[in-house]
Amino acid sequence: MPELPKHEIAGQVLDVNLHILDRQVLDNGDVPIGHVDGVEVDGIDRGQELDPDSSPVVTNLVLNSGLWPRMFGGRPPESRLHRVPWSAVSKIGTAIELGEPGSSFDVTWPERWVRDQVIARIPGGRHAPE
Amino acid sequence: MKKYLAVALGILTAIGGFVDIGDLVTNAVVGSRFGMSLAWVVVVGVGGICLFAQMSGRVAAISGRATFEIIRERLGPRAGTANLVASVMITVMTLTAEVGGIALALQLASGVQPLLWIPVAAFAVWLVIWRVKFSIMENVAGILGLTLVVFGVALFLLGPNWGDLRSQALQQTSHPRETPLTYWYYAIALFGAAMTPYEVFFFSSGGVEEKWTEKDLVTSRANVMVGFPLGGVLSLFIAGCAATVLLPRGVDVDALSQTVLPVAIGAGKLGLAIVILGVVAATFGAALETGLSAGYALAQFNGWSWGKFRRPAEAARFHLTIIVCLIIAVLVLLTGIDPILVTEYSVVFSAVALPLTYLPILVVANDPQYVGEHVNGRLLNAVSSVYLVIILVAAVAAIPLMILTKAGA
Repeated sequence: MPELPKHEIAGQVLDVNLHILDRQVLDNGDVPIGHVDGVEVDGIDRGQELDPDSSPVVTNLVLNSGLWPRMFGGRPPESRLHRVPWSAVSKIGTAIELGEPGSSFDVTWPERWVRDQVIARIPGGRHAPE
Repeated sequence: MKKYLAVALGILTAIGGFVDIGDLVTNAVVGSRFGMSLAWVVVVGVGGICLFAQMSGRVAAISGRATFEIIRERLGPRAGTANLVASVMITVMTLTAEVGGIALALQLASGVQPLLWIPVAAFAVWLVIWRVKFSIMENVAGILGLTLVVFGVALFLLGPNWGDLRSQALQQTSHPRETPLTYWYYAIALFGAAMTPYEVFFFSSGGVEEKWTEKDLVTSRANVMVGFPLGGVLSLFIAGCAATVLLPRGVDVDALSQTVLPVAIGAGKLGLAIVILGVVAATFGAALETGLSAGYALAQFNGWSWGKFRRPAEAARFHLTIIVCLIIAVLVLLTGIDPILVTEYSVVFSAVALPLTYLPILVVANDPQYVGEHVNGRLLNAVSSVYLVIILVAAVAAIPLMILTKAGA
């Protein structure tokens, strides 16, 4: 693992590639809701030097936007960009933990759809295994 | 006392759960063609699965991350997707072989033809995954699988020439009917059967299912380090039986009935009844493991909610994956394809997919963020690196050997 650059400000230093991309995202009940496919950053203007006084800010994590664009380049359509605001993140460890239930993010809609249309309709689907 | 019981139960489950249709078929085929001269491969393969299973178990116990979450995280989108596709295909292929194995074993017991048993077997597998608690499921299948020890009993009752078996294993006697290429082809098949990737998916996900913590490390290590080698001994008994009965008669194994034939000769009707029970339990248990593993792999890779500790409705896409995989297995089997053939291919393809599964486990088992102070020692890393080289060589050689030998014909 390469040494991370030293920073003057105290706190957790995160490498986007190493600690954030492709990490599992858990909601406040430790239920997996997706993987990080991208990070949105505000405050970078194309072609301009970064201003040390107003550093760029991470605004959103993009979850499960599909692996195709990441493998072959390009940008996923806007409808596929399931965003989770950075402010919802409560802890970053071996997984990224959120402080809110998964149902409040639209990235979980396919899970809810399969649950309501298929799995919950099969007898025993709503009961814990015995 | 209760703790020792738990350890003992875990070990027994690991022994009974180790053998699946791949081990049953490949060991019998190899025993009937090469005697015990490939026994060393079983030893090497069991050593490898022990190393990597305990690493994946340690990572799961301390970080709560199962193997496919790590594969996605460490390999990234490209290599990760390649591994996912390969692993799920092989796991579904193995599931197909296991469901077919249940049907063949039930045919031996009942005389009813396997095509009728296939949907029944698959439905029973689904029902257990749907409704039965993880720990009960694992323990019952494992303990019943222990009845395969009857292969060992039969071997003693057959009274083989032990000196012969030993010299086959140690001195590599020549095999007039075989070529070096088929020898190495079956070496890779046996290696793939012992190290099938689904075993680490299942083992690490099982650790998360049973909510292992640092305290369970000793138990999980004992399960692996004692249970798997004893499971490997069962494999050698199967090969030994075939080497004693089938090799001298020149019988090639191409049906499950030939795998169990030596037991019927050595231990009579009772032995046959017990071994059929053992085969049903082993293949049923492995069908549960492979079905779940396909779900684990896909769900963990995509970040879906998964696990049998949740209600099915709380892990909807995970359960849907398992249902779809079982339906695929049934449809493939209903074409009338021979499950033994599916098994033989699945173990060789397993060997191809091994490197991409085991490399990330080794990397993460050295990462303090995941395992804290329990990182690998130097010796463990050295041995694991040697294994990665073996795994890589086997993976590269598998397909060319398959083509050159016409799949071992």
